[in-house]
Amino acid sequence: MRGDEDKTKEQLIEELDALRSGGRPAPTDLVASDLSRTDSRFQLLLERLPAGVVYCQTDGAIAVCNPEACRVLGLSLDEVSSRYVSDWESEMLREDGSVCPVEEFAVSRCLATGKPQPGKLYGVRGPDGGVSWANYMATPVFEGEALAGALVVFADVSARQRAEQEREGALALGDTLFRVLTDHSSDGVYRADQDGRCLYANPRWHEMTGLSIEETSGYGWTEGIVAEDRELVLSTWNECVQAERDWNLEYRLVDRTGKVTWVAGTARPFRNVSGRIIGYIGINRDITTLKEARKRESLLVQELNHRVKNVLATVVGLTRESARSSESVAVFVETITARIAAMARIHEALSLRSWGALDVEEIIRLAVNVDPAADASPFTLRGPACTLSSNVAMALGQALYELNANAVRHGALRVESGRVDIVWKRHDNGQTCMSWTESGGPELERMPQPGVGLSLIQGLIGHEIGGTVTLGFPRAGARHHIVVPRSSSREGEP
Amino acid sequence: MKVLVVEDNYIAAMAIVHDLRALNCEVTGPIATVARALEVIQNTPVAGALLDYQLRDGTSVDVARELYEASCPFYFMTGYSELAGLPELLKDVPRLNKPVDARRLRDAVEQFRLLASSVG
Repeated sequence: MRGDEDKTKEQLIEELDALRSGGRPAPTDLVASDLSRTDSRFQLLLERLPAGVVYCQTDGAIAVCNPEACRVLGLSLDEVSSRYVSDWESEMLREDGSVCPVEEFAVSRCLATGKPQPGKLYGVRGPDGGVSWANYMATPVFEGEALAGALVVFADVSARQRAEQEREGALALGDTLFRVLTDHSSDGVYRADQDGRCLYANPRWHEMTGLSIEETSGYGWTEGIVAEDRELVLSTWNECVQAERDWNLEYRLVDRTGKVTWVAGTARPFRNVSGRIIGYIGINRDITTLKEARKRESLLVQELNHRVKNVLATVVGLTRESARSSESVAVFVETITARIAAMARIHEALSLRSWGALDVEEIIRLAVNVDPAADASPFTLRGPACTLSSNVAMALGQALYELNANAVRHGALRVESGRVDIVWKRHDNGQTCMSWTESGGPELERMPQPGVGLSLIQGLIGHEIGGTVTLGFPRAGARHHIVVPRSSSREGEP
Repeated sequence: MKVLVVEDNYIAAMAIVHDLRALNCEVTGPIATVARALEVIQNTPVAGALLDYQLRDGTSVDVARELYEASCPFYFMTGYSELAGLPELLKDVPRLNKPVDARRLRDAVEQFRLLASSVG
């Protein structure tokens, strides 16, 4: 190796002499002719070398320039051979893109200082405006003690440089897209390293946990989990990391005010080019409303079940009561059917109002099953708009149904001309007082025997809702008074 | 033999009252409220009781506790499969599902009678 280097120096000196002797032969010819005399293999090497090689004399004249150097510098061999470094016309760029003056070139520094110049990245702007990047390294060449020139060697890194820029651009774009997406996400999104340390969490995560960016980083994120759920989260997470699996778990997050957010958490590993897991992207979807809806649904189903069983118990009771008062199966069927139908009408109206409250006038209409607005209606209804809770409404409705059935069978409604006036009032203490006055019917000859219907009325108003009933049978027509106490606050009970 | 019936649904209560009478029981009630039931059990000793769980002035838990302490046998009558707010002490109280089945009611009365005779 040593010998080769010495030879090279000698050859270069010869070249120098040739140049000085006037006339500037084309470098290739010059190099070729000179080198062929000493080492044709060296010439071949220089021609084929995938690196640029330039030799400059101390005056800056370019003495040697191989084909690769010409390609990188964007010059023909003719152009190079007729040039001094000081006459350099093409724009040279520093790594940061700024223009580099001739004095700063590796070759200029080397010639000026006589010292080797370590590799440094420069770009040459070609005629088409494109920049070709190369790593330039200059070595001083001495002849004895005197500096004879500088050898510049450079490798084209344009392709690598471009690929890197593109990769950086893609990464920057990817990062921007990730941030835009996660900033606007209604899900809590985070990035963790392969050990589960949090590297990033989006604004929604910070909102759900009340933790700052600093508090979340590392393993701080576990502070955002409801204490009872923490162990489950960590153990399932670790299992999935061991098995290199996706992670899925429903758990609770909590902020400083104690506000709990139910989340459906998922995390998926992401891998580097060689397939090794280098981290996780996780998403926490807020499922609080879903959880609440599921709970409500289950309560609703339970409540419905309770109502159905109560209705069935009532139907069983009505069947017994109807059987006791019916002299024939035909009468029994008619009686029980009408009683159940009245219950069903009130039930339907209540269910339409989600078992809230029912207006008194509507209760009456449903109980007596007559449209009071119709011309032929024997009923007159008068009273303020006021409501009764579902259980009171059902009991009052059943009682009014019994009063009506009684009037049809034994009272004023036995005849076409019979009328019933129903008047009610709501008192300040919450009581609702109602009067039922029959008129226009045949005169009552005697007090009716206390039957099943009348005892039902007493039981429904007195026992079931804690009100009072006064049944009166003057000769002109029945006159009843009902007092319904203030609705109890217990809603949702039939 | 006296049996207490606490049930605010009058019509359902009457069916049970009639059934109990048919089984030669003397019915105390039906009673519709917790307040009234507590009053009654203070003054009237009964051989057994049937308690609706949800009454208009609350659950019958307080009544049940009194009966439990007096070692008086009783059943919960309920439409709920799970009773909200039932204390641990009363978790094992037997239940009669609504509507109450005649045969199960007969078994309950039989048990009241057995216990009443063994106590003396």
